[in-house]
Amino acid sequence: MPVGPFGCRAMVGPELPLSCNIEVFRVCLGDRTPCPAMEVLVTLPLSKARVGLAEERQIRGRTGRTVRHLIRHPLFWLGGGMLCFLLAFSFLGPLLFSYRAGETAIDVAQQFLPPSPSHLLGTNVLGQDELAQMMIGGQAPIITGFVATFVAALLGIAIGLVSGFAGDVGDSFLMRLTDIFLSIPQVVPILLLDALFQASTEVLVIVVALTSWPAMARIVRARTLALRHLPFMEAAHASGAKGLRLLLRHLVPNMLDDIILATTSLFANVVLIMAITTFVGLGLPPPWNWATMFAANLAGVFGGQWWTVFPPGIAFAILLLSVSYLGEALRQALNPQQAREVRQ
Amino acid sequence: MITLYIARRVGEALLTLVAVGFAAFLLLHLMPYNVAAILAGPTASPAEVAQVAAAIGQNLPLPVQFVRWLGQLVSGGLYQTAARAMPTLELLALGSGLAMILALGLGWVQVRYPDSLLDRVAASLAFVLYTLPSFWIGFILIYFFAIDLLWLPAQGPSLNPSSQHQWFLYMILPVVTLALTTIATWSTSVRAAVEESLRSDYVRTARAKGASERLVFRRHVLRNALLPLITTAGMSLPSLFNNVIAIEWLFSMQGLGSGLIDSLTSFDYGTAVDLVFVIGAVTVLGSFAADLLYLLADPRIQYR
Repeated sequence: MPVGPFGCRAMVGPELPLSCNIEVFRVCLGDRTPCPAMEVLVTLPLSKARVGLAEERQIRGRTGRTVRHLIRHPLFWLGGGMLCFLLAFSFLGPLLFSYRAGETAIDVAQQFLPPSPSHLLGTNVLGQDELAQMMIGGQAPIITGFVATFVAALLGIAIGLVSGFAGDVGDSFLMRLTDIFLSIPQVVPILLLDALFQASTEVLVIVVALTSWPAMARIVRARTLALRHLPFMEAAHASGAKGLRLLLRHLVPNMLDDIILATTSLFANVVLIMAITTFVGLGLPPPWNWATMFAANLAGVFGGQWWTVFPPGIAFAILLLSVSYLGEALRQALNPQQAREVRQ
Repeated sequence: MITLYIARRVGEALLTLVAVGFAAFLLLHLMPYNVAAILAGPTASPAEVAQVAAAIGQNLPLPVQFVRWLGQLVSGGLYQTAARAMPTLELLALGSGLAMILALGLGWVQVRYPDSLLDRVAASLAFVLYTLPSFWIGFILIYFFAIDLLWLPAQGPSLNPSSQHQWFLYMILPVVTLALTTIATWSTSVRAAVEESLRSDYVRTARAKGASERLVFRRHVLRNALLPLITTAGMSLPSLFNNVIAIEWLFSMQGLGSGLIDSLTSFDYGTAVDLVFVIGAVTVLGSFAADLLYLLADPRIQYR
């Protein structure tokens, strides 16, 4: 691998001898944190040269710094630990305790037992064990949350990229569409569509994803507009990267931090929206999940059965807080300067 | 200039409203049932169903039907939903009012006494409240203030409260719940604005004139922090409304949100679509009102 005059490497097409004309580009990644301009070698003819490695190095260097800040952040470990606990609780728990078959069976004779060694979280109105219900009840919100977040993030990224590159008419059309989506309370179209197409998990996930993308699209669009005319993009374009490759290999990696950050808040929002729709009686279909448990057991609290409602509520709190803590840790790791200022 | 700006904003708001209305109207047509067949009754022959369909205008082109539907909405539907809208508007107004006061207070504490115990506790509490589902916050309030302490009712006010006093008493918990869900974001915007204005020239001038720190805060800093707060409030209206729906359901209030849920679960799709339109109108007009307020409050902005 040839090494450039400033110590960074440029990848040269295999068919090109190093002795051919070499031009030096100054490349600054132009993100929020000021980084020193970096020398990148571009071999001519430009259409055949690749600048990939040098700028990828720089990105990797920044990613490494972010990761170092992240793993030193207490909120990262707190949030990660909480999330891992919930994942283990919901997906390993039922296996370990072989709860699924027996314990959630309806047994009205066992109705409203307070927490005890045999029923750690007590039983509900039907005599079902709360702990067993809690474990299985976590699966639907977590899985649907991840899937809907994934779909919404992809949609948002795609629309944001298109909007950032489309120019005048396309951009203003897409942004108008985004504004309209953002000006409608998300729960309303979800309730409507969910009721129309008979509540099913797939429909809910699709509808939630279809209404959740605007926040992501705005962020991606803003970053695209900021990045697309920077030298490294022009260098990549000049060296022959086109279309999807230009976007996915050169543009998207440079906004990955913002995308991940937006994804954490997207996840929290998606889970919250699905919890609300499920709580009011539409949304996720049976079998039960934390939101239906919460709603179904509400009346029991007035009779003193507090143990039927607090566990699902606390589980939601742990899930949402863990993701928010991860996002907050990531935000501070990305802007250590700003985080320090805020603390002062 | 200002008239042009207002005209443009009115145009945008109307455009959004029509888009929302058209989307709702299209959904009405996607519905998995035939209105004419239901209206004609179970024993009607196909010919009679066709007659009913013609009578209610089902055979007309879609745009014509849309205009007719809009006309019906304006003449009758809105009047019917207005009764439903009042509790929701009261909840929204009181909730965001309380949230503004709390956010101003919290933002002020955070800047005035940074890193104090009060600052840290309040900020992390606001962060936790921001992440929690609104129905969970509401439930905790119900559990402690209605079930445990028996201080307040566990429900929202009914449509015809017997007295002002009773209405107020029933309104406290829903309003507090709504305010708590949003203070974190709003106080962040207040804090940023307060920090910015503390660095500004007019605060330095005020201090140089010898104004007391209290006067500087009250007259110069907090007033300017109000501006971005209005914008933030206007922008967070849709997410506020998401929480309103859960809160109305939790507190059994007769508002737009619970009305929507009731009409959907009882298959009354016509009412549902009317309510969707009214909800869209409330949020669009809300953000429009926030823009106008900002315009009144800050004479410096450039209008385009």
